[in-house]
Amino acid sequence: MAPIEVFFGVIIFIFGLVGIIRGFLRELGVTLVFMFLLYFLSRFEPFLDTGLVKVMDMGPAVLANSSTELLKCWVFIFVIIGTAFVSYEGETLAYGGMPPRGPQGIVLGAMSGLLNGYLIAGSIWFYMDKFGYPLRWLGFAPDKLSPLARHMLQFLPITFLGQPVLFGQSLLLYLALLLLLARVIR
Amino acid sequence: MVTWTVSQWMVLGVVGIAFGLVGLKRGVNRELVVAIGVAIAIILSERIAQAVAPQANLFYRLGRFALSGGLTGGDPVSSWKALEGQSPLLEGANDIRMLGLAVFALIVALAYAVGQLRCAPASGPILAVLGLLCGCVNGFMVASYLAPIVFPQQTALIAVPSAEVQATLNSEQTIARVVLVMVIVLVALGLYSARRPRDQQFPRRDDSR
Repeated sequence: MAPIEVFFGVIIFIFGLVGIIRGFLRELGVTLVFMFLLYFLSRFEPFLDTGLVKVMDMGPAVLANSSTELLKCWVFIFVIIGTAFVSYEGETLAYGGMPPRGPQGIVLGAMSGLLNGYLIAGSIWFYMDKFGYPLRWLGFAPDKLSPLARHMLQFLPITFLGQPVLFGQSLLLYLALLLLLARVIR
Repeated sequence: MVTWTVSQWMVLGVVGIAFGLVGLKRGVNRELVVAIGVAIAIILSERIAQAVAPQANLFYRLGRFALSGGLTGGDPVSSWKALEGQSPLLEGANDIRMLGLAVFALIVALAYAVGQLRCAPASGPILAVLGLLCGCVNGFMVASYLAPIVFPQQTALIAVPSAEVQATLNSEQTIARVVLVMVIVLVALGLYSARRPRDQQFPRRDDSR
């Protein structure tokens, strides 16, 4: 299996191509959804974690600790992939207006696609890392991470954009509100 | 350690150029409003600060009382007595001076806003050049007011941590934040470029049918 950072880069690249095809305005709708989702996940993660533990608490005799981590990882990954599916499937989320044409449209579409790829793939990597890479059949493990991969962990979306910037709130919230404001006032 | 000695003319020149360029862009009409505003601010800001300080302290105490539960709290009398024992928000000459500085900044900002809204911009080179000169005068007045506050001593030594500056500039977190700002700029540019023309934002209904 390729190193996780290569896997991550390929997924982002694919999303970039998708962004060129779908267009900047439609991709921005997905970005809006993911900014809110990631803010929600980062803000309420301790509560979600506790809730999941209570729901899945079948006792250590039945559910080993590693299975608990695996299930929690799957829940978060499912939420992210499900949200991505719904966002990419729908049309309502697309921003209105005339899509930029020519090289500007291609560049903006690619940039927004890459951004969405970074948000989606980066979040999945974040949760895999948080729960100790329980999806071993993918070939990823904590002890197999390259120095580059370890270095990149600090730039994953929830880590990098989730840093508090103003009034104790993370950049995710402000970016999400800015995108929402742009969606509403246009 | 590298030592740079800056003459007073360079400092005044930088301030004059900064305000002059703003005046060049805005024009003499707007800058005259600012000149009046700066003059008013210089005369009144200290007086307003001294008059407002007791009220500011009272409202600060009231706000803290409200945050601690106010009259509906468990023991409002004790809460109020505890607050009376604490130091006020503004005490001492330095705090009043800072308040005066804030009032000065507010009046000057208001003057800039009024000039921007009520006066026409420079419509020709003469008005622009006059705006440049008026801007320089405004800069001189602002510098005259701020200099005793910013530079109270005879010599000011400004130490620049150049190693930390280089480390911050080369830091990956800083570079990542700069990339993020660039992405935000591109997204904003894309949204602006994609806006509909004004006549298509609210399409007319066809009433002929």
